[in-house]
Amino acid sequence: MIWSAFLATWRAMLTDKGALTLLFVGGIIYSFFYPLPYSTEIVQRVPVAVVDQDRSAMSRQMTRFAMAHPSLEVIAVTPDLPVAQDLLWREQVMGVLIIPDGLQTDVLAGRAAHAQVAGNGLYLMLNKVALNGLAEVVGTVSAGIELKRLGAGTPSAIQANQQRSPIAFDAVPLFNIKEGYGAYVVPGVATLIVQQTLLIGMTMLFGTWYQRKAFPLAQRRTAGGYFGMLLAFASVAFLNCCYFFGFVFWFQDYPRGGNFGGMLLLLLLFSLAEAAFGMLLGMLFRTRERGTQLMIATSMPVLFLAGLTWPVSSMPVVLQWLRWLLPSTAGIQGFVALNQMGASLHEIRHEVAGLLCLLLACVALGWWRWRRMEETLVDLNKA
Amino acid sequence: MSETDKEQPAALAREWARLRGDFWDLGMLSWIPVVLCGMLWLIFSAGIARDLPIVVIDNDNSALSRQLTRWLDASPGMSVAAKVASSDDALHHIRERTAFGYLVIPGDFEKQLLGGRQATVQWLYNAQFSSHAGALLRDVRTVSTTLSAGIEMTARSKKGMSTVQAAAQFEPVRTTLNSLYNDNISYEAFLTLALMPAMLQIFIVVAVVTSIGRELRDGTVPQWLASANGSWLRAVGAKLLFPLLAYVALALLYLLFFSLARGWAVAGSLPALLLSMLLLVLAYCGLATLLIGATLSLRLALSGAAFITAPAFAFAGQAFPLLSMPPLARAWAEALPLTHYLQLQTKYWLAGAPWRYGVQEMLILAGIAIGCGAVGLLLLARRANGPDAWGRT
Repeated sequence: MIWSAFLATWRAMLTDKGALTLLFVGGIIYSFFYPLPYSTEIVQRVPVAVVDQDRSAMSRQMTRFAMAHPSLEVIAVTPDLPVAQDLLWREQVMGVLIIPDGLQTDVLAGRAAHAQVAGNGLYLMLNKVALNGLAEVVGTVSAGIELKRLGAGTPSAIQANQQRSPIAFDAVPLFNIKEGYGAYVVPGVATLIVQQTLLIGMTMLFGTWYQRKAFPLAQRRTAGGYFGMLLAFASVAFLNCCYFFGFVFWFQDYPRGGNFGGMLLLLLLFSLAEAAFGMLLGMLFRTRERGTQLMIATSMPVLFLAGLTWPVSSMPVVLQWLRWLLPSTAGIQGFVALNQMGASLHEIRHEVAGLLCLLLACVALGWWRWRRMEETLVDLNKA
Repeated sequence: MSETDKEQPAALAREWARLRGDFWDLGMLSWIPVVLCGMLWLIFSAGIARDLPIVVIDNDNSALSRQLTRWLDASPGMSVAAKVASSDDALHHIRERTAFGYLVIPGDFEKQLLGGRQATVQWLYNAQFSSHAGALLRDVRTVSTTLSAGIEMTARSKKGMSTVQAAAQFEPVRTTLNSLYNDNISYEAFLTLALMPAMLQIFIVVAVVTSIGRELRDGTVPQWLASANGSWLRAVGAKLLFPLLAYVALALLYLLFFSLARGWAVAGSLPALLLSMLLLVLAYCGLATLLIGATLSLRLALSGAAFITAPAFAFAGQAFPLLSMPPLARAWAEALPLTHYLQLQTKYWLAGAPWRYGVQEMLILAGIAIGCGAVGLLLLARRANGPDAWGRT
C-alpha cells in the first residue's frame, strides 16, 4: 500500500516535465551557478588612491608601501581631495589614504601626527580590505620611526618591539580556515536550494492535480497513500542533499565531512520534515504555477531567517520564534554545524528537536488536510 | 485618437477584471511584496549586531586578565557567555553556536606584562559564521589594543615622560579610520537598502511573466488581442501597466520609509535616484516580456525568472565585490539590470553623488528596457497568436 503510493508518486514526478526539471535538474544547475561569483573566494588588490598633501620623504615612503601592499592597488596619487572624491563616486577606488600637509614636520618635532584612512562603507568587504591595508601601511611607517627612537634607549630591537606593543594579538580562524566567502555562504544556501526546488516542484504537482481534478494515487484518503507519497518526496530531498553534501562540497573544496553519522540522521529527519511541510503546503494550492511564484519571492527572507549571515540574537524576538516554522532554519544551521564544523548530535539538539516538532505538526495537519482533500475536490466539481 | 480612447480601456479593464478575480495575483502586486520586504527589514532592523556571545579561557586569573575579560563583556558588540577551562569546552560552545569565538589568555599574562615583556593573547573564531566573526574580530582587537596601549603608557610615565609626550612617542603617526557614507557599518544601510530592489526585481518579472503567460497557457490570446483592438503594442502595454504602477509605488514606498522614517536621507541627487528607480522597473518589465516572448510558456518563463532573479543579489556585487569575480560571473553580473541599479542607488542615496555620476548606468538600464522590451514584443507579435503557442505547461 505504502509501496504502491511511493511508486505512483515517483511515476508522477518523472512524467511531469516541469516537476522533473525542478526536482532533479534545478539543483544541479544551481550547484554550479550559485558558487560561481565566489570562486576566487577572497578579495585581493582593492583599488585605492593616495592624497599626498605633504609631499615629503615620509609621505613618499607611505605611498611606496601602499603600492607594495599585496591587498591594495594604488591607482592614483594626487594632492587634491576632489580628485579622490571623484574617483570614489565613480567607484574606481574603494579607499583613500590622506597624508596631510605638515605630517613629516610634526613627526620630526615629536608632535603627534595624523594620517586619515577612508574606505567606502557601502561595500563591506572592500571597505575592510582597504581600511586594514592602508592602516597597516601607516602603522608600518609609524612603527619604523618609533623603533628607531626606542632603539636609542633600549638594548635590542626585540625588546623595543615588545615595549611598543605589550599585548600581542593572534587571531586564528576555525573551520573555514581559508576564510573563503563561498565556503561561508554556499553550504547554507545548498540546503535552501534543496528546500526551494522541492517545494516548487511539489506545489506544482499538487496544483496541477487540483486543476485537472486527477490524483495519481488510487486510494487517496488512506494512511498508506499519505505516507507512501511522503516517503517519495522525502527521498527526493534525501538524494538532492546527498548530491550537495557529497559531490558539490568536495568539488568546490569547501570544509566538509565533519560528522557523517550525525549528518545521515539529520538528513533523514530533514527530508521527512521537508516532504511533510511540502505536502501540507501543496494541498493549499489550486493552480500549477502559484507555488513557483511565491517560492521564488520568499527565497531571500527564508535564507536570512536561518541566522547564518545575520545573528539570530539581533532579530526581533517574534522572528526568532517564527523562523522555526521553516524546515530550512534547522536544516541550514544543523547541516553547517555537522558538515562544516563537525558538531555532535548533542550540539545540534535544538535543531533536531525543532525538526522533530515541525515534522509531527506537519504530519498531523497534513493528514487532517489529506482526509478532507477529496471532499474539497468534489466541491470544486460541483461549482 | 478617439479609437484609442475607446479601445485602450477595454484591454485595461479586461486585465483589471482578471486581477480582481485572482486573490493571489493581486496579492503579488500589493500586500505580498510589502509583507516580505517588511520582514527583510525587520530581520536587519537592529542594524548592528550586539552582544554576540564569546567565551574566555583565562589561564592567568590575575587582576589584568580579569580586567581584559570585563572590558570584553562591556563592549557593546559582544558578551562573555562563560569562562571555560579548556579548548574542548570552548569548541563545544562554538559547535553548539552558543559562542562564536574564544579568547585564550596565557598563564603568565600579568607577570610578563608587569615585567615589561610581551604577552600573546589568542583569539580563535568561527570563520564558518563569517559576518558574526568579522564584527567580533574588530571589537576583540580594539579591546586588546586599548589595554595594550594603557600598559605601554603606564610604563612610559613611570620613566618620567608626560602623558602627551608618551602618547606622541609611542605612536608617531596615528591613523584615523573612516568608513565613508556608513560610519557604523550598519547592515540596515549596507544590506537592507540593497535587498529591497533585489526583492522588487523578482516581483516585477514574476508578475509580468504571469500576466502574459496566462493568456498563452489558456489559449486566450485572440480575446486578449481583440480587447486591444488587434494592436500588440497596446495589448502588451495593458499587461505592463498594472505591474508598472504597483512596483513604482512600492519603490516610492521604500524610498519614503527609509529616507523619512528610518533617517537614511538621500544625500545625492534625488531626481536622478527617482529616475533610476523608474528605469529599474522598466528594465525588468522589458526583460520579463522577452522571457515570455522567447519561451511562450508560463512554466518555462517562471523557471527562467527563478534562475535570473532569485540569485541576482549574489551576483550584484554588493555583498561580494564584482572586481573579485571570475570573468564569466562578472559578465553575468553586468548583464543584470540589478547590478547597475544598485550602483546608482549606492551613489545617489548614501554616497551623495551628483546626477552626472550615473549617466552610464542609466543608459544601460534604458538600453535593456528598450532592447529587451522591443525584442520581446516582436517575438510575441510574430509567434504568440497561434494554437502552436498555446497551452504549454
